Amino acid sequence: MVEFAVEMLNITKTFGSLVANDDINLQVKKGEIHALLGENGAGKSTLMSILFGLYQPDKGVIKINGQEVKIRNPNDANDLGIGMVHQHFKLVEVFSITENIILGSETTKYGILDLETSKKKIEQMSKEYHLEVDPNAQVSDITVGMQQRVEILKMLYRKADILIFDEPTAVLTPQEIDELMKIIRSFADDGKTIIIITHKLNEIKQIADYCTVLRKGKKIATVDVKKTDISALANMMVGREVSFSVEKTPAKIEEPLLIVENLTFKEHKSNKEILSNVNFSVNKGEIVTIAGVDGNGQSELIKIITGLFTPTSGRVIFKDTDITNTSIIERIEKGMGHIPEDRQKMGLILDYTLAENMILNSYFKEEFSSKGILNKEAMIDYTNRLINRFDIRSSSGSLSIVRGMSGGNQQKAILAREVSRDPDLLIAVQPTRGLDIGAIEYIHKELIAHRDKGKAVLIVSFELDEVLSISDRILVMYNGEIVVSLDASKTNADELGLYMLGAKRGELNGE
Amino acid sequence: MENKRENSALRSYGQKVLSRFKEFRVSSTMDKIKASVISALGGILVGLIIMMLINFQGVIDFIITLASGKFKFDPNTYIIGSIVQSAPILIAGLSVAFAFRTGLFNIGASGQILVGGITAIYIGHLISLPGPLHFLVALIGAIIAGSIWGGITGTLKAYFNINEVVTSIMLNYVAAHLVKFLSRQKLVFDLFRSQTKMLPKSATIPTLGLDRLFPHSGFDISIFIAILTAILVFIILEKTTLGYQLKAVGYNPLGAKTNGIKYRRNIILSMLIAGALSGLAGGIIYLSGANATQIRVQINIPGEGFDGISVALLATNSPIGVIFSAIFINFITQFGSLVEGASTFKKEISDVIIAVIIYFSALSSITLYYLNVRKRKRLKHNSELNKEGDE
Amino acid sequence: MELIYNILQATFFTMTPLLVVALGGLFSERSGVVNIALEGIMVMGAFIGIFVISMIEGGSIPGQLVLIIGVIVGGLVGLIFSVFHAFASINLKADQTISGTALNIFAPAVAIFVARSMLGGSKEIKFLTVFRIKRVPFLTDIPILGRIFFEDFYITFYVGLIILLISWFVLYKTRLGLRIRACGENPHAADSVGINIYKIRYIGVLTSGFLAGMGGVIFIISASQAFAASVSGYGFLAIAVLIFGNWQPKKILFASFFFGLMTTLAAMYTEIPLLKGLGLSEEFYNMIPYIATLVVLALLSKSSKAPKAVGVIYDKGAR
Repeated sequence: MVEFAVEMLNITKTFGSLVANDDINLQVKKGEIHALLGENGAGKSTLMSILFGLYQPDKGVIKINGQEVKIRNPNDANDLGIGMVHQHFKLVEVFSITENIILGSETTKYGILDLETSKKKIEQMSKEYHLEVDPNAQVSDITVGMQQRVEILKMLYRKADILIFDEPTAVLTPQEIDELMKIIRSFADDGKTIIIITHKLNEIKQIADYCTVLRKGKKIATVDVKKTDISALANMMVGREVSFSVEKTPAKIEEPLLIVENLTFKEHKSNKEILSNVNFSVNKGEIVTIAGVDGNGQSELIKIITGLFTPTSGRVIFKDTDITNTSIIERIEKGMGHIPEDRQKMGLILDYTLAENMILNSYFKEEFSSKGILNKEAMIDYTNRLINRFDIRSSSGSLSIVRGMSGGNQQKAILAREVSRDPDLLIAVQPTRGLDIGAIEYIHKELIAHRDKGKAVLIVSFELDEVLSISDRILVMYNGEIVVSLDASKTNADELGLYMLGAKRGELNGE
Repeated sequence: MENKRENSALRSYGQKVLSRFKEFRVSSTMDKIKASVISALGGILVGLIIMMLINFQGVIDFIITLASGKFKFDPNTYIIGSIVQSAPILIAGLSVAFAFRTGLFNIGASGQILVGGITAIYIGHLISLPGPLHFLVALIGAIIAGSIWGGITGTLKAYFNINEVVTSIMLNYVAAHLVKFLSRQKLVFDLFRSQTKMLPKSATIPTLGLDRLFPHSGFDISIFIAILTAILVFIILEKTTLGYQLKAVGYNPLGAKTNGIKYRRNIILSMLIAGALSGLAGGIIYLSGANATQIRVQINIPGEGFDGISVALLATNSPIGVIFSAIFINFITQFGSLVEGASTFKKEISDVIIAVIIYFSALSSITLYYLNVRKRKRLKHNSELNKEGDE
Repeated sequence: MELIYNILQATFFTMTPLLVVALGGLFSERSGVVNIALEGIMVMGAFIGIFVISMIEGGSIPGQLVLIIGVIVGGLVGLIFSVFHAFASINLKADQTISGTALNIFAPAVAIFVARSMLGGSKEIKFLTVFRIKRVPFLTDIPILGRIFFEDFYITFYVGLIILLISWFVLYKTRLGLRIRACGENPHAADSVGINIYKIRYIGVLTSGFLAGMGGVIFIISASQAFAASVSGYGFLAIAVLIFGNWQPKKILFASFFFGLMTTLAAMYTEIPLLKGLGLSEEFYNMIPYIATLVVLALLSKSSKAPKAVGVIYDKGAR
């Protein structure tokens, strides 16, 4: 009989009417790297949260090293040697790395926190596992990659030997991903058991021994990765044939619409330079994507273009007019559409109805109001038309409160609002973040259709697959600068990765 | 770091829970009314229990006194009076509710009332005009003064990001000192009573003879002004583009800003309006002829501002609801006087009851949640149609 | 010189209740719960605390001990009263501002109602002992410092300083402090390493209740000779001090000193030639502390470091 490190048998978990996990079995051998594959909403995170003690299953049994156990909270998981690196790092930004690692398992001396001893221990572990960190640094000052190392050290500090990684590569460059894969492999060689939650197929191929596929809360299969090819995995995950390429015709590029000139931006508090002398343009009829690791100035750049921030120096020119200091609403009126990075915090008023959200930047137009009084019927008619055209689903149509809608439909609503105003420049930041494949395909199609109408589209994305498939031109941002402008059809992930890491600089051709 | 790429099943569950907990915003009018009624009944019950704990026999005696008819119960005082005299807290409640709906906690209604009140008194003494016109001018003066006072809070929040609660509290004290100074100036000062002088009849609220129709009720037109104001506030919040913008900023400042709605302008506007409403309340309080309220020369922070908070919370910040909650809370206060007149208990029992009601209102989202759970269960029994539109 | 001694002595007793109550607010907000109920908790603590003082004073217990007993009773009452706020905002996930407001309305109402119903007709609770210490042998004789710190003072000032030291120590040097701060900044991080958020937040709110209850008694004994169901808005002022002090113990000490000094200057303006020379009416001097606080807040607002998760309802599902 095989010795399993982790066995989850007949796990069922429901949230209200939603069955997140339906009679799922998962068995992982000691020293194995096991991938858990599925789309957003397939139930992967729920299953792992149960293993980690964050949720209690309604039904089912968990066995660790053959022993049946009850995991009531993360402390129990910790005692059983289970550690987890969450997708959204669970770090306290204003704490030092040491404080973050010891939180919850502090060493004290006469009741006083013994930070020195902990620090030494962390330094030693950091050397042993090749996870380089500065224990004194404050988390808000370190890179995402280092934050991930802190999370890994947190598990090791607690002597975990069953390690769960939730979408560990989502925020890393290809080179950082390679580094992480090496580290994970060395853990497995050390006899630790690894579970990786992911929806990226090539990574599974690269690192995992076995893979369990979940779809809509059900287990589809557990397969030997070496004996299964990527398209088979994809079909199991989605439940239908998937095409990886985005269909699009070559761009018909016309004159420049948006020109960014010598843009520099310093943060007010720290006086840190976030953007340094950024120059680029976006032409009518093309999709330009800004690629790069999160936190290299993309967010600030878009906020300056859309009017949320004012630059320290430099100009933004849109349709031959300097708009550097014009208000947001004037930019919208001038033909700018914006699908912002955070749909819930920036794109929508979650407590408003769908109809109220659809007129958020056009309520003052004659169509929707006269003499300061809103025309609710016009608003609802308009929304109903958008609901039909963009297939936005919700419980009570135009009168649904947006908070209760799914992420995909929220994003579709924003897309509908912006695209239907037919803006000359459509800016979309991470337009497909957190969506499942169906919704991603839909949004990509709409963005390309918008381009094909001769409009300009500017996208920010951290997903290399997306960057490569949708763009006509790619700008790579590193450390507040645009380091290269590339023709999307003539580049690949590895080359992009080098630019994203700052290891390489290139020509800003076409500028 | 708060990246949203999350298991969407979990997230939509989170949203479902939140949408229920996220207060009354997303629940139906009927549910809100139910929750408020439950809070009110709960408050009365707890008040009764406290009375019994203190003096059980006293409660029995009180009931006997009422039942035996020994206590002279004047409906003009206790019923008509409660209704018509609720105007000040009704309007103060509108001020607080309006601010709440636009995302601000106006704990400074008291200061705005004072500033509005003293302005009305000055206009009353300073100029002479015929009958209702004089009153009207004084009232408008009160509105403008209150509005300016509220506007300070809004401006400090919009431009310096100072929490409106702190500003309001500080401004309440500044107003109290300022008004004390103004109320002892020669023009308005009644030396013998150490308070402001009686206003000329032309500046007081017209009664249209209602006070003679219902003696001892203090009936004047203020209650009509209050109800009209409530309807006006309702229209602003629910029907106009102004209300639409203000609420958007209140619900989600960043979201509103990203979509071109001017954040600072709206924060200031919102406090200008809330201040104007409180100023109006101040005008109503101090221009009342029948109840003869004068400003005493002392540091005083009028209770109507804080009553306004209770009124707004019990009404779950609905302007129309405020009409009923103001009258109800005034009833409870009158009930306090009744208790003091007819038993050994003191009238402050009413404040205890009101406080408990507010505590229960704070929990109303929970009350609503359980109401909804039961309703959902019923629905499930009745039909299988409960199909999710979400993917 | 005499004037400066007098100003500092007065400043110390004005600032003490603010310091103690703001430190209370610090514990609550650092753990992630807004506590606008400090005013009501002060009233409740002062109510029972002063009542106990009025009962035991004049007997065999020495005056200063009576005071300490009164302050501790006030603290315990505040702690118990704050359970209502903790329960509503932590267990029932109620709106923390509304729950706090309810407590603020409840406390004076109950204090007046019970005082009038049970202790005769008046709402006032009087006490007779003067707790101010005129001088201490030796210590008062120390040049300069002796007159500043050990003449005409209340022992509560030193209680306040000790609480400050303990607060700083607990928050920054102990395991509990680390966990409290983590809960106020990122409760999900704390939860994921097995820290019980509810427990930590209860500790935060109950500590704030204890300190605010103490602060209520401290305020009354130095401000008057009777309790009349009010603490004159000092609970709200303490919130301003907490914000002004940027949620840090040391800066809270400074902020409460600043506010105490401003209040003292306003109250003593007739004795200060520079202020008297302005020739303003009394009321305008009295406005100084409030306006000064607003000005300082406006100047400091850009560097505000409020705990990130303060006031945010913690819900496991909604990550």
